[in-house]
Amino acid sequence: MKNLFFIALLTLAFAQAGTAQNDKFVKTMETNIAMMDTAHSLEFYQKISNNFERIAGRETKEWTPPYYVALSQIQMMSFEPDQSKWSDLCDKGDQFIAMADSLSPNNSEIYVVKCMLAYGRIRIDPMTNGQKYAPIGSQFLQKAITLNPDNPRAYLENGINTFYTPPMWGGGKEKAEPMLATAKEKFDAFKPANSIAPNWGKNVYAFIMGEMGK
Amino acid sequence: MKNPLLLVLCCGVMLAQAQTTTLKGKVTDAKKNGIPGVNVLIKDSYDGATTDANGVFSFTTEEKGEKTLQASFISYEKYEQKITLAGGEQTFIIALKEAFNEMKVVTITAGAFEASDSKKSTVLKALDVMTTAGTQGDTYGALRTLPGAQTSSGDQDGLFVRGGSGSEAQTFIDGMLVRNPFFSSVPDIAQRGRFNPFLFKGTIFSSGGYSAQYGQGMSSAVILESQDFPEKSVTSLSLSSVGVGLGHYELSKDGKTAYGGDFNYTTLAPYYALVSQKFDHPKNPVFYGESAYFRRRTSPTGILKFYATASQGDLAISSDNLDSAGKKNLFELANTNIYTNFSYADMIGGGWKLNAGFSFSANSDQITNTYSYGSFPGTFKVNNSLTQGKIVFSRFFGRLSALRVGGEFQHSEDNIKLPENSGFTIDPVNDNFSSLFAETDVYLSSKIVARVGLRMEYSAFLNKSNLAPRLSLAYKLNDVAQFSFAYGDFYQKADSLLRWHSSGSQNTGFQKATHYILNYQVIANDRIFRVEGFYKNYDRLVETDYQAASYTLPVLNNNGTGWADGLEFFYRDKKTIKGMDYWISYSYLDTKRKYIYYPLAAQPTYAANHNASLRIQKFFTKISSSLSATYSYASGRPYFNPNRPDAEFLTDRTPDYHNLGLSYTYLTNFYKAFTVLVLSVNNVLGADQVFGYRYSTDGKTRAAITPPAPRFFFLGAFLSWGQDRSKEVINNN
Repeated sequence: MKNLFFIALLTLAFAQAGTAQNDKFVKTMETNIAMMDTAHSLEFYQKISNNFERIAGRETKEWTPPYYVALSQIQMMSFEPDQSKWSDLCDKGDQFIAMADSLSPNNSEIYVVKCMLAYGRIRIDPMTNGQKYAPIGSQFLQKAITLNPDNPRAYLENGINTFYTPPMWGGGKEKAEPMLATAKEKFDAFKPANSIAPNWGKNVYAFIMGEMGK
Repeated sequence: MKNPLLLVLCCGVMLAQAQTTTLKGKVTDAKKNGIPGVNVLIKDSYDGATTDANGVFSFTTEEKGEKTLQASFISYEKYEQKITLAGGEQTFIIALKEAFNEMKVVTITAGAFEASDSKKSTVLKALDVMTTAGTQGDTYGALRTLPGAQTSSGDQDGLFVRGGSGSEAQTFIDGMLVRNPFFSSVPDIAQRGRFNPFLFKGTIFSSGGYSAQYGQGMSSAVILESQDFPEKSVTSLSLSSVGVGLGHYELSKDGKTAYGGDFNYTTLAPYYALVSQKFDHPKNPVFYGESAYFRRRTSPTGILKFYATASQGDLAISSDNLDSAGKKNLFELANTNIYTNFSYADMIGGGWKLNAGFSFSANSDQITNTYSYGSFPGTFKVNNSLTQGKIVFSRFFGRLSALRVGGEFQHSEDNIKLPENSGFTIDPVNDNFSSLFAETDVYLSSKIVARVGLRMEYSAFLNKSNLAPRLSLAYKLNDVAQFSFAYGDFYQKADSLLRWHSSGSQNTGFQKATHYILNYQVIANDRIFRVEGFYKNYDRLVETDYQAASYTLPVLNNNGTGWADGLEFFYRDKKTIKGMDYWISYSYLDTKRKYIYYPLAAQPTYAANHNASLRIQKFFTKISSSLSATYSYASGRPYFNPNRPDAEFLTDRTPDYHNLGLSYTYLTNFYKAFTVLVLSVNNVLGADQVFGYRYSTDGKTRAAITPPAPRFFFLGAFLSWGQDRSKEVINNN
C-alpha cells in the first residue's frame, strides 16, 4: 500500500512535470508575444528573437516559435540602420520560416511572413531584386488568402505593399484603401485559434492608416 | 505521511527542481571585443540570455547534470561546450569565430570583373550592364567602360583588351564558345553584339588570367551565364526608333517548364530619313531576328536549357571612291546567322555536379563590293560554322574548395569564296579541335585561395597541341582589402580572316600570350577601389612575309612577337551622394607588337595609351526615373599612313577621342504593362571622332574615318505584361 502510494506520488510528480512543461511552453510564448507587441528597438527585437529561437530549439514540433523568429527578423530590418546586415536578417528569416512551414504546411500565417520576407529582399536593393521578388511575394500572398480568406494579416500586408508601390506601377493610396478596409473588417471578425497563434497587426494597421492620412 | 523516507524523497524531488545554477560571462570576437545580441543558452532548454551591449550575459537555470552550453549569432559560427550543472555559479568567456561568409571570404579578382545578382561580393550588378548610357543595351558597350578595355573600338568590331586585337577576346555562353558574337562587319562602322543583355543573369569580363575552363582567347574572355527560370509568364513588346519586337514567355503551372520565343524587326530607314548620315544607303539596313527558348527543371537540382536564335540582315552602303572623283564604292552585305545552345546541369551523386552543353552555330555573309583599295571587286561568300560539345564535372571539397575537370570538342568549318575574277581560290578549312582541362580552387583558409589549372588543346588542322598552365592566388588582408595575382599561358589559332590575304595557314602553330597580373581591391561601405598592374608577353604571333607591292598571297609564319604592360584604376561609389552611383576607370597601356604585315614592332591601330571613363547614374525615385551619363576618353590611336617609310610605320596618331552619352529612363504603367521608356543620345557634345584615315591608292588623298553621323539618338518603349494573377485574386476576395 505504501509502495502504491509512493508510485502514485511519483507518477503525479512526473505528470506535473509534463503538464508543467506544456504550461511552461504556452506561458513562455505568451510572455514573449506580449513583449513583441511592445518592442520598439533593435536590441529588444534581438532579445525576443533569441528567446523564441531557444524555445524553437527545445520544442521541435511546434511551428509558432520559428514563425515568431522569422517575424522578428523582418521587424528588425526596420530598426537596423546598417543596410549591409539586412540580407543576413532575410536569410535567417527564410531559414526559420522554412522550418515553420515544414512543421505546419499550408498555413496561411506562414505565407504572410514569406511574403514579408520577399518584400524585405526588395527593400535591400529595389532595382535588382524588384523584378524577381515582387511576383514571388504576391504569389505567397495569393496562397495566404487562398488558404485562409479570413486572415486579416494577408490583407494588411497587401494594403501596405500596395500603398508603398508607386501609382504608376499599380500601387498608391487609392488602391490600398479598399484593401485596408477589408483588413479592418477581417481584424474585427478574427478570433485566434489559441493564445499563442498569430494575432498581431492591429497596431500596424493603425500605423499605416496614420501614414495614409498624411 | 508517516514515513520520513517518503518525506525526504518528496523534498528531494522538489529541491532538485528548485536547485539553480547561475551562468554568466562574456561573448567576444577574435579581437576580444564584446558582441551584443548573442543568444547564449543551455541546449534543449528554454534557459538562456541575450548578451548586452558589452557582450555580457547572465542567467540562471534549473537544469542540472551534463548539458551543452551554446552561443550563436548571425555571421558567427555556432559555439558549443559541454558543461556540468550542479548549482552555484559558473563563469564563461566565449570567443566566437566568424562564419565563412561570402563577403568575408577571399575571392580571385585579378583580371576579373563580375556582374551578378546572386553573389554579394561582385563589383557590378546585371542591371549595370544594361543601363550604361550611350551603349543602347549592348553588353560590350558597358564592358568598354571598365578598366583594361579600350573605351572606343573605333571603326572595328570587338572588344580590345590590354593591347589585344578584337579577335583575341572570346565570348562564351554557358561555357561554350560563341563564334560570331558581333553583327557582321561593315567597313568603317563598328557593329554591336548580337545578344540581348536581358538573356543573361551573370557576366564575367576577364581582362586576363582567366580559368583553364576556357581557351582560344589570348587577351580576354567574356563569360555569359544565361537566365534560369522566369518568375512568371510574360508577354513583351518593344517599340523604338529603329524597329519593333514582340515576345512571349510561358511558365507552366507546376513551374517546372518554361518556353517562349520572340521576333524582332529592325529597320534604319525611318531613322536615316530623319537624321542625315555620312554615307548613302542604296539599301537601308534591315534585320530580322527570331528566337526560341525552352527551360525545364528536371529534378530539384537539375535544369535543362535550350536557346536558339536566327537572324537575317541586309544592307548596302555607298561611299566616295578616293581614287576617282565622283565615283562611288558600293558595299552590299547579306547576312544569315544561326545560333543554338543546349545545356544541362544536375547533381549526379557522390557530391559531383555535371554540366554538359552542345552548341551549333553558322554564319553566312555575302559581300559585294565595287573596286576599292585593298580588296577585289565582285561577290565574296564567307561561311563559317561551329559544332561543339562540352562536359564539366565539378565537386566541392570542404566548404569552398572545388575541383573541376572536363573537356570539349569543336568542329569548325570556314569557307571563303573570292570573286571569280580574282583568280584565287582558298581551300576550306575544317578543324577538329579538342581540349581537356582540370582546375582546382584550394582554400587554405578563408583568407588564402589558390586556383591551379591546366589546359591541354589539340587542333587536327594544325596538327599541333599545347599545354597551358594557369594559376591564380588571392590573399585577404582584412575584412575589406585583398591582393590577388594571376598567371597563365593562353594559346590561340590564327584568325581565320588572315587567309583572305595569305596561304599555307595549316603550317602555322598556336599563337601564345603569357599574362602576369597583380590586383589590389578594397570593398567597403558601398565603395569599391581597385588597382591592377599587368604584363603580357606575346610569342609566336602569326606573321606574313611582308612584301608591300606583292600581288601573290604571302606565306604565314609564327615569328611574330609583342608585349603589353599597364596600370589600371577603378573606383565606384554608391554611397557618398544619396541616390547616385558613379564609377571612374582609367587604364594606362603601353604595347608594341610585330605581327601580320607589320614591318617592325609598333603600337597597333586599336591601342590607345590612355583610356578613361566616368559613368554616373542618378535615381529619381519619386518620379520613377533615372538619368545616366557616360563619358569616355581615349588618347589618339596609331593609324596607317602609306606615305611613311617602313621605319615610321604606325607613328601617326589620330586626335583624342571624346564621347558623352546620356540616357533617361522612365518606368511607368501603360495599359497594365510594366513599361520602360528610354531616351538616349550618343556623343551629345558632337565631338569630332576620328578613328583613322583611308588613303587613295597613290597616297595623295585621304579621308577621315568617322562615325556615320555625329550623334545617335534612340527612343524606345519596352512593355511587358506579367501573367501574374495574384493581385486580381486578392482584389476579388
